[in-house]
Amino acid sequence: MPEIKVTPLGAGQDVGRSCILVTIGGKNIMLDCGMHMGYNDDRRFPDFSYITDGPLTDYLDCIIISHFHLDHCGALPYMTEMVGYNGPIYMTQPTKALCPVLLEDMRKVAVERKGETNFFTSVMIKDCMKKVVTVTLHETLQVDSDLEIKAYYAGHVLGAAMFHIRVGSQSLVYTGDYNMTPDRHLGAAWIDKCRPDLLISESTYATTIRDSKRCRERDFLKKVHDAVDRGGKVLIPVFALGRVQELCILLDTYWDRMNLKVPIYFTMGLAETANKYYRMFITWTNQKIRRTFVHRNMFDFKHIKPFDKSYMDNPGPMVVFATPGMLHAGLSLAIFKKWASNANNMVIMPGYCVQGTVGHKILNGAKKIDFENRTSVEVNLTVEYMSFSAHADAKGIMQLIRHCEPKNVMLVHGENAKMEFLKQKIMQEFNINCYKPGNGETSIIPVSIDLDVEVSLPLLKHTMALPTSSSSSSSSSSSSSSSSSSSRGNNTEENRTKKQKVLHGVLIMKNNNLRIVGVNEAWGDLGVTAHNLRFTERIEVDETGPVPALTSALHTLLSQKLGSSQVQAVNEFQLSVADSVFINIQDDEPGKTILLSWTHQDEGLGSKLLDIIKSNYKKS
Amino acid sequence: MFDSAAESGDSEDEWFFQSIRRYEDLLMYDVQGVISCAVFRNDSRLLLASSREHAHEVWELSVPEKLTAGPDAGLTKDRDFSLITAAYTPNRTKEMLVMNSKVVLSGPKGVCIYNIPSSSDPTDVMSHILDIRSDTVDATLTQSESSIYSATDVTNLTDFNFNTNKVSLLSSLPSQINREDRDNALSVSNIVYRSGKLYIGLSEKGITYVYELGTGKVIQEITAPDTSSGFWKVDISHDEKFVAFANSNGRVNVYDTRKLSEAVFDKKKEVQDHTISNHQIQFSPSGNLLSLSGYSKLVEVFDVSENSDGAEVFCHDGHRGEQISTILTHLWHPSQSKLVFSADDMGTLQAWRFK
Repeated sequence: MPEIKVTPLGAGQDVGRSCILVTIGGKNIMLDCGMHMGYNDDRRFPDFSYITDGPLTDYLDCIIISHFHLDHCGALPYMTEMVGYNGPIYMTQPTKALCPVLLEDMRKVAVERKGETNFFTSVMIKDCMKKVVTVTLHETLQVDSDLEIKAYYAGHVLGAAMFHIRVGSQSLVYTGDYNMTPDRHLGAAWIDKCRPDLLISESTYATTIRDSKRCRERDFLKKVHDAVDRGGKVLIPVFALGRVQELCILLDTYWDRMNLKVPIYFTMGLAETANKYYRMFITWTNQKIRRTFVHRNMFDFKHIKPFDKSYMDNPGPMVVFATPGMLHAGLSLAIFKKWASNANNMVIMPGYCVQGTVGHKILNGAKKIDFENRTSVEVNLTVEYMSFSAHADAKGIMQLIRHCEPKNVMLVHGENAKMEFLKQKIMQEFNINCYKPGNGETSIIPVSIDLDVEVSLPLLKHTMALPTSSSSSSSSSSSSSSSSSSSRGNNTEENRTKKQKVLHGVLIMKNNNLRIVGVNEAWGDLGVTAHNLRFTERIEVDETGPVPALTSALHTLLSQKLGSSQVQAVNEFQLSVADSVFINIQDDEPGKTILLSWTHQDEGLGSKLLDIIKSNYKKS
Repeated sequence: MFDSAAESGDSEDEWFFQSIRRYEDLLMYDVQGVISCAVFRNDSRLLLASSREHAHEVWELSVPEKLTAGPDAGLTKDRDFSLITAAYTPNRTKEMLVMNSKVVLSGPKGVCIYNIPSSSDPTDVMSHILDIRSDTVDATLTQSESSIYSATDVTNLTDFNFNTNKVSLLSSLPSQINREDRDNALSVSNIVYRSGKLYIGLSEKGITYVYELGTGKVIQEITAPDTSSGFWKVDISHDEKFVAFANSNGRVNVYDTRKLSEAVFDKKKEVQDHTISNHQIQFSPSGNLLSLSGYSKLVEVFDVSENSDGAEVFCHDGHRGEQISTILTHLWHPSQSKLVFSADDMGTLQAWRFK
């Protein structure tokens, strides 16, 4: 039974790092190569020694990276340059452009702030990216003669993709992180009904029922409004490629509606970077943004203006969007240092912060931050956290399964949460199995193969011409056959008016394809001489008297039983039944011998005649 | 659902912007099913029964920390519900109660008990333990410290003792109830347990009987005006100071139990459909607020304490959208003040804390 093997690579606790090994159709593929941000030692990297000690090039056919978040690509340079891998790495174009930016940022923090030594270098990041082959959405890419991959839009972040992988007749879909509800700047994930053998989905939020986007946004606005109402300043550190565009639109609309006069700013660096990337990858965002972008600059707002460093010291309330998002350097950190000591102020962190950054420290409650130049800052301002990142929750996972109709589902990287109920739910709704391997555990998913079988036209015509019988005779006989065949095509359940016919033929496997042909055609195809089997039963009876008398008596008997038209007397010692079964009567002192002869096609008739004769002429 | 409304709703934007001033907290969840009832197990666990076509489920959810943490808690990131345990049930659940680590379900086939697995259990699926009774359809439930009381009418009110697993009929009740016809069953819509007493509210009449469990005697009869028509529901405040009646015709009355002659609160709501039976009236855990739902898409909160004149304190109109027709259930958080949860018939659960 062919199978797909999946092993999530792990080293202990594993939330927040993706790296999945898959063996499908004899090919080994690594899906994502993420880093665990919570550890400072080797535990942050996946345990590649599971594959082998030393370079991995010979053991992997390819690597696929779903998107640029560090928990999906953070360990890539380590793997390719320090462990060793020279094969192809596949990702979408935006991912290729953005990965090195984030990797470099992270590297700087690790080395310069945390003083790490054995970390990958900038050169390594560059060398790693040279191995990347970009993939376009919905384009099938041949990795080699057997393995093909295809990327689908995943939503979530710019450039994120879900991958469909096919080797021969086995296929799987890996989702990476995805999002089933469209938001203001990215569309929702989309995949066709590809019916893969296996769907591998992230399940961090599988048992979560998430608060609506609208309410999160409302909360964001409320926090900002409350802060400026009390005269405070609000700093919002952002990633140029995150939701800054969305948050700006939101704030701008709100300010307009509520007629607020408090100034809002964005830093120029932020605008430039965002514009640069969005321009490059305009096809990756949704319709709305594309429309906006075509007609105007993305950062042209009614109430939001470019920031100048000198404004930092202006009195009174204000709101500023500034990069970088983790407060580890640059303008956002400078502003933070200025505003942190005032309890009326607020900083709203937009998402995850890497360990070692100021962002990470304040999110963990630090009340004082020390800096290298012996200065320090009191953290009296309110620290808020606002994550808009959209992940697949319980509802999203069910939607995706409904969409692509996999034969099996696998959930990876959940928080060791019990998933018995979710498995039950998937079984209940879709009648498919759900797997949830632990880290380092291999799941083996059996795959059934659909084989294409060609049916010969003469045979088909012959079968169609036969009357529909309700008998349940078996449909295949074979002289040479392999595994069971199944004819492709429609579900008979779908169309109950279709009548079933039994096809009786020979399954021939020749030159790697399968054909069902009629028996007579088969002889020719196989170059085999047709053979006929003829059985002869020798029945000894006690009849005395001349041979013709016995012949005549038999003739009468059989005519009675079968009808006179069926039985012919050929001559005095021979009868024929239905033109194919022959009965010879011989003299065999003291009795007679009846030879009953039939071909294998007349098995039924032959047996019947045998019974009749035997029961009427008993040997004493 | 409301996310796609996000694309279209300028008016939706407007409501959300205004809500910033009106609500301290506002959260909305798409439950993907019609919520038939909800009950709190404790401050941080909510049980929901939801149905989708023929699939009926009961969920135990953890209440987001954001709602329970309190104003001085500092940074709380968690604003989502997590599914802790759950089960498929063969039937829809009309009412639910939690007792120890068991959930009691009342539905069309009677009343039964499911076990809620603990965190040390390897499974997260609730399992059926036993049936308490199978002679009732959608019985109403209430609980004391050690018993579950269930009934559909005055002749079948039973006591299931959790310690002994024994069911006993409160047989002295029917004879003490004034009935035109001895055989007339008189259906019951609510029972409420309060310190050794059961308040038994009839469905067809605005009458609540106060039955003392120790003596088996009906010690009081509380009557609403205009007792004849419609379908009645009742609630008693936790300190037993107030009793509230709500009728499907829109009549809502609150009485001070020490002074039954005069209603403390009297309102007639406009009702389109007089056959509704999902109207609900509830006292807040602290007792001085009264909430109403089921007459429209709104949940209304009134102050029924002495000096308030029954003023409307808040009107929750977050269940918006043309497809929504009514609020199926609402409930107060057991300890957080002014925090209410409400569910509509399109599968949205909302948690709101008004100012």
